[in-house]
Formats: sequence, structure tokens, C-alpha cells
Amino acid sequence: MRPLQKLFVISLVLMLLNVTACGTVAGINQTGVVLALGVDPGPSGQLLWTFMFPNPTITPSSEASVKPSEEFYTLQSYASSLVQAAEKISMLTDRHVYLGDIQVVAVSSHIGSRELVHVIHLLINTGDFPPRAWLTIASPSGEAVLKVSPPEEVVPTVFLGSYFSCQICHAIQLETRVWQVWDDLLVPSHTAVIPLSTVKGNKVQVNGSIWLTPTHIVECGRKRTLYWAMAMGKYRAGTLAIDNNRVVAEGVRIASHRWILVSSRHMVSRWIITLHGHWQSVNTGFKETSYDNLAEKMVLRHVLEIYQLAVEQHVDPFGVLNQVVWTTSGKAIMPRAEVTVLCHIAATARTE
Amino acid sequence: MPEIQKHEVVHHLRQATSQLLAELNAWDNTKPDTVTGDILEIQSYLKSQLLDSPDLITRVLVSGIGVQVLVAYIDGLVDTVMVDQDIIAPILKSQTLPEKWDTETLHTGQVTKETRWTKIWPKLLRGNTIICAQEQSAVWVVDTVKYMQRPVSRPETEAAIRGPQEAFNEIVLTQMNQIRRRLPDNRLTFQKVQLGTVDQHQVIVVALRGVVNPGLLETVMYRLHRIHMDAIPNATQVGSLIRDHPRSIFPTLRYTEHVDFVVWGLEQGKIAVLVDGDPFVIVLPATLWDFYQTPMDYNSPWYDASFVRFIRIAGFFVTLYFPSLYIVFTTTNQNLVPYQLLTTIIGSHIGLPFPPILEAILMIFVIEIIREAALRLPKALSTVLGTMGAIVVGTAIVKAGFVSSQIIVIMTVTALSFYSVPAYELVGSWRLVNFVLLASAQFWGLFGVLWVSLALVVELDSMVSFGVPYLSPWIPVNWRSLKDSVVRLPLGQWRQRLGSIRPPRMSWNRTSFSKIGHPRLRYHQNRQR
Repeated sequence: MRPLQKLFVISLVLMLLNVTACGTVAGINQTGVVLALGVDPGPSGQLLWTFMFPNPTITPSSEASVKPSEEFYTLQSYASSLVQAAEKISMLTDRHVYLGDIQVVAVSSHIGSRELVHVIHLLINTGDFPPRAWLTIASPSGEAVLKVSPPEEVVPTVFLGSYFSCQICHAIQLETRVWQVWDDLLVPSHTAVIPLSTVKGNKVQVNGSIWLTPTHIVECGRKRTLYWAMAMGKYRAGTLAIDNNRVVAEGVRIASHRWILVSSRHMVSRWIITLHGHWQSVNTGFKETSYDNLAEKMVLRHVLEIYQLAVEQHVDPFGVLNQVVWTTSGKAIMPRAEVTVLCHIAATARTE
Repeated sequence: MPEIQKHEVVHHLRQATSQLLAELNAWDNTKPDTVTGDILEIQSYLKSQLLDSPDLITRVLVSGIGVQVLVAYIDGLVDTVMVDQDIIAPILKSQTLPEKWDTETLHTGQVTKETRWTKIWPKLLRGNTIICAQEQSAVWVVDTVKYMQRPVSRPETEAAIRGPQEAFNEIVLTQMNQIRRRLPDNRLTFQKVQLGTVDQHQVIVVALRGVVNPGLLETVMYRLHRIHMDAIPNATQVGSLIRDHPRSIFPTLRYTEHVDFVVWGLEQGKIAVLVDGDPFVIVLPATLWDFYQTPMDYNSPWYDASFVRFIRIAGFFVTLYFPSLYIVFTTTNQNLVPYQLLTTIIGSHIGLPFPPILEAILMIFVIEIIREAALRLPKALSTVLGTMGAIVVGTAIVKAGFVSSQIIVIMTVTALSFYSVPAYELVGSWRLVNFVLLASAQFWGLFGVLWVSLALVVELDSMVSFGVPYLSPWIPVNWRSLKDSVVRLPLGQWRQRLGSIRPPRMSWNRTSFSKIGHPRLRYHQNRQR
């Protein structure tokens, strides 16, 4: 090896030895992995941050013997930002608080729209925080939602993280990630839709949603959330009851196709919603066409209602305004909606 | 002084004198090298040189015409029946002069005349018989060699489920016969090179003329002729003297004991080097990919061979990266581990005294100790020890709280992957690289692993084996040779030989089938049957 080459190699090795990025990383025994984060309003503009950790003694062989109440533990701190809160928690424990594996963030429903937007920006701007984490609004509080862990969940799986990850478990697909909400907030014409999780007894139910704009929040109950999901094609393998619940369709999946029609005089938001599925066992005198008509009318009425509500509240959870902005150079106002519902729910061979 | 003591003193003095004489002879290069013609002097010379060794047999005879003859040979190395029937008996009856014994008296196949002791000694010590006649300045050297060899057996290190099970043994002549029998072509050449001034090792260079690149053959001969050493014990040492990059940890020669694998290499234009006394034959040139090929690859269906090769490649990556990535994921880059796994890893490390790197090193030592012990012990015992070691130590070491259960899985899989490399000589290389990767993972995390990987690729890419790039056929890409890489195409689809070794005769398959493909029995022919 020539002297110049030797010098190059030695300097390269020295340079590598001086790379300090890895030197600051805590060992695995000194790491506390945060699996869920709760955010609640606190005093004097601060926030109450709840960090949920898995029981550190969990091993594959000990999982079965650990009681559900001992699977996780939470630590809380008041702070203005997530970094400060993590620092305070680090001081409480002998571990480095690792935020990179946060699965779900539960933000209290008592937080206003401006604060909520601020929290989302705080999360996104925290380097260690994974923007892929699921986001939910928690009622009555983030802490309360995190503390409920159904018995079917085994540590280290977090209930809400597992709930939102499952694409085939629920009829309504409400899951949204932190980065998606942040992305929606960046565009003025967008309205973010965030699922609402409510504690009822020792259960958590994801039974609603909120529509978030930088200026205000619109809370939607179970029915409105359902119709919104239908309008957006986020309803899969669910049921549909008509005629005062006397006739039920199962395996219903709804597809939605939406676009903007622009003519010289006016602009129309054109929607085609298609229903597929099959009717449950019905009487021999069953008239498929009439039930289809009933289903079409019902879905149409509710979709138009929800659209009307959005127009009244000056929000756009359907992404119509975004389409308008991209299609025309005019002012972004909610156009008139023309909705067509096509029902292709078939009869089954099972008749009574 | 009593008579018995006198005898003892004389005997002792005689022994000391003989030893002194032999020592002087060994050091004296100026003594005359020619045969004198005095058979008693020759007899004395032979005995003194070998210090009255009991295996040296000398006998003085009188031929049919009254000439005194000395017959000398090494007991055990010669076929005594041949000596008795084909040499001693004819000489006793011979009526011809000693000068004509090769044509009229001796019944053996090979008889040569030698006049210099430097030529005679190696032949005598290899099992030839020498015949010295009185007043003759030359010696007859008769080939009476009896080869003590173990029978041709199954390969011990490269076991194959299907295909030929014939391995080389230690005798170079048998090795040549084994190759000749499989390749009865007059273009097959065996060129002899004598190496080692003391041990006089026979080295045979085997090549298929017309297929082998002449430049390659010339290079091999040149490198062999350049060796001037007292002794070269085995094929590994010969290989280390002729290979490219002798200080590199990566082998550039392939050693095999499979006859069919050597013949396949010769047919592709490679060269085999046989070393007397070593059942492992050197096949060159050898690229990195050559060490991942086994004889069984050519005795299995193409799809099966290709799948197994793919598994070997996967094993290669597991071998190199499994332990180091474990260190990376548990020490520096925990963000790359799924949180479920990370949680259980943390749980398993609660209360353990050592960091992951020490766990890995501890387990490497445990596995290496078990491996070494299993190698040294008798086969039956080694199997038991291996199993017991793996199970007892594996479970006990976790329960004892020395290491986590994950590291047991990691290191066991790694140890198994090490031996998915068909060529043993590469296992040691990867073991060393593995240590470097472990260290870089500990110090620099994923960044270090990437750096070492990059350096490894650069190092391997800069190497050659007898002019063939070490990473061939991938870097530089050789499309013709890719047919025998990870996927081994069916032999029927080979139109040309492997191009990496640049054989002058590229054409391989000249079978002409009809347009519809392979000839088949027609339907009506089947029905007639």
C-alpha cells in the first residue's frame, strides 16, 4: 500500500470513529418504548401528555400469565411540547423515552380546533415521533381512552392501534394517520376527518368522527359518520336495513365515484354511489326491485342531508372544494351536488 | 576390561561413527555423485546413509555367468513377489552381460539406467529396486513400487445424494487413472512437475488441450516451476504458492475430492493440479461463485439445483448479516425493529448481565468450541456431543441468565448458514468478515455495516483468479456464463461453454433437433405398441 493510500485509509477510519450519531443511542436495556400517547388540556396553556409503556418484563413465554391490568403502565407530565414532556418522563424513569414506535395518539375531545391544529403540528415537528401513528379524538379524555385495554388485546398490541390497522374488521373505515390530518390542514380547502373514540364502561367504542378545520370542529354522531362513510365509499362488508329494519342486506359494500361537472352557466358536483351486497333471507313474496328502490332512496336522502350539513357548516369532508380548485380557477365554493345511487343488492337463494 | 564391556564399547563406537559418517554425507556436497562399481562399497554406502535402517534390504548375488550383483530395495514399499520372481530369479539364471539385462534378463515393465546417486536415491526410496553389478558404473533401476493406498471411497467433505460417489485418494497415479477413465480423450494431458528438494513431491497439472486457454496453462506451469523449496507438504501449500492474492482471506482456488467435479471443470476449460499424497485436487481458476457450486448441482434436475443455489445465496446473507443486524437493531437502530419484536427483546434482556455484542461473542465462542470438539472426537461421539451441546448448552445458557433466547436463535441459524457454503475454505473467510461486521455494527450501527459491505464488494471486485475476475460472471457481467449461476439452465440449452475462463473452444452443444423440438414417438407409434 502506498503512503498516500495508507494515509487515506487511516483518515477514513478516524473519520468513522468520530461519527457520533450512534454514540448517543441508548442501549436496549435503557430504552422505554412508548406505544400510545394521550393528549389532554392542561393548566395555563400547557398540555397533559400521557405516555403508555408496555410492561418491560413481558417476554413471549410470560405474556399469557400477565394480568390485563399489568400489561401496560402510563406516566404523565404537563408540558407545552412533546419533547419537553418526553424529557420530564425521562427524568422520572431510568430509561430513554423512545417515541419511534407510537402506534396511536388519542387527543381529548375537550381540546378546541386551534389547539388541536397546534398539537398536530407539534407532533409532526417532533423528530422522533412517527407520523404514521393513528390519530383519534378521545372522549372523555386521552388518558381515559388509553387506560382501557380489552381482554382480547395482549401486550404489546395497543387496542386502538390494532383496531385501526384492521381493514376487514369493521364496516366503516375511519382510520386516519397523523400525517394525513396534517396534510389536510395544510390545504385551506380541505377538512380533516378524525375518528372519535368514546369510553363506555370498560370498553372503547369508535362510534363517531369530527370534521376539523383550522377554525372550527364539527362533531358527527354515529349516523352522520355512517352516511359520510357511505358517501365516500368507506363502507365495506356492512349491513343495510330498510323498511323499519324488517329487511336487511348483508355484505354491503359501497363504491363512490365523484367528480366536478363544469358548464358555462354552473358547476355541479356529480356523484355516483353504487351499492353491492345481498339481501338476507326474505319471504317468498320478495320483490327485489322495490327493496332496491327503498335502499337507493334511503342512501340518497342521507347523503344529501350530510352534504347539506357540510355546506351549512362551511366544511368540506368530501374533498369537493379541492376538486373545484383544481378544475376551475374560480372561487372555491361548495357547488350543487347531483347524486345518483345505484343499488345492485341481489337476492340470496335462501328464502323462507 | 571384561569381554562384554569391550563389546559394548565397540558397538557404541561403531554406532557413533556411522551416525557421524551419515551426518558428514548429508552435509558434504562435494563428494562424488557417481556410481563406483564396487558393490561392497555401494552396500556400505547405502547402509551408512540410512544408518542401518532395518527396512533397507541389500543382497549380494552371483549371476549365471559369475558376476557379483547387489540388489537393494526398501522393504514394504516394493512388491516382493516381483523382486523374487522378476529380478532375483532371472539374474541367478542369466547368461548375458549386465549391460543387456534390461532387454534380455529382467521381466519387469519399466527398467531405467542411472549413473548418479542424486537420481537413484529418490527412486529407491519410492519403492524401486536397484541392481548394481560388479565393475559397472551404472545401476539398473527397476519399477517394483507397491502402492499402499486406501480404496476409492465416498467423498467425506462434499457428500452428494445423487450422482457419482467417487473420491480421490492420496496416490497421484490413482488420481490420474480416475480422471483418465472418465475422460478417455487423447487431448487430456498430464504434465509432471517435481516440487520440494527434500520431499520430492510429484505435482501433476491436468488440462484438456484445445479447450483450456493456453495462456492459463502457461501461467500455471510458470508459477509451479518458480517454486524452489525444501518441502511442500500438501495441496493447500502448493495452492498457496501459486494462487493470486496469497495474503487475501478469500480463497482463489477450489479444492475438491470429487472426481466428476474435476472432470466437469476440465471439460469447461479449467485446470486441475494433483499433488501426490493429498486427496484434494486443486481446480483453477476459481471465482467466488465457484465456491457455491457443488457436484450435486449437475446431478439434480435444473430446477432443483437452481432452488438449492438460491437457498445457498440466502444462507450467504444470513451468515454475514444476521448477527450484525441483530446488534444493529438492539443497540443503535431500534427504530427499524417492529415494536412487537422490540418489546419482547427488551423483555428478554431484563436482568441480563451482558450487552448484545458480548452475548453474540460469547455464543460464537460456545459454538466454535462445540464445533472443534465435534471435529476431533470419533464420529459416534461427536454426533452425541453436537446434539447435547446444542440442546443442553443452548437451553441452559438462557436459563442461567447469560444470554437472551433471541441470540440463541440468531447464532444457531448463523452457524447453520455457515455450513451451507459448499466449500470449506470459504467458511473461514466469512467467519472473519462476520467478526468485522459485528464490530462495525457495535461501533457505527447500520452505517458501519453498510461501510463494511461496500468495502467488501470493492475488495472482492478488485480480485482475480488466474486472470478471471473474482466476482465473475456478475461483475463484470458475462451473459454466457449466467446460465450456470443462481439459475442453472438445463444442459440442452447450453450452446456454448462458460465464457469467464475464456476457453478457445466455446462450442458446447451441436445437437440438431427438428423444428418441433425434441424427437418424440408419434401417436400412432404408441398405439401400435
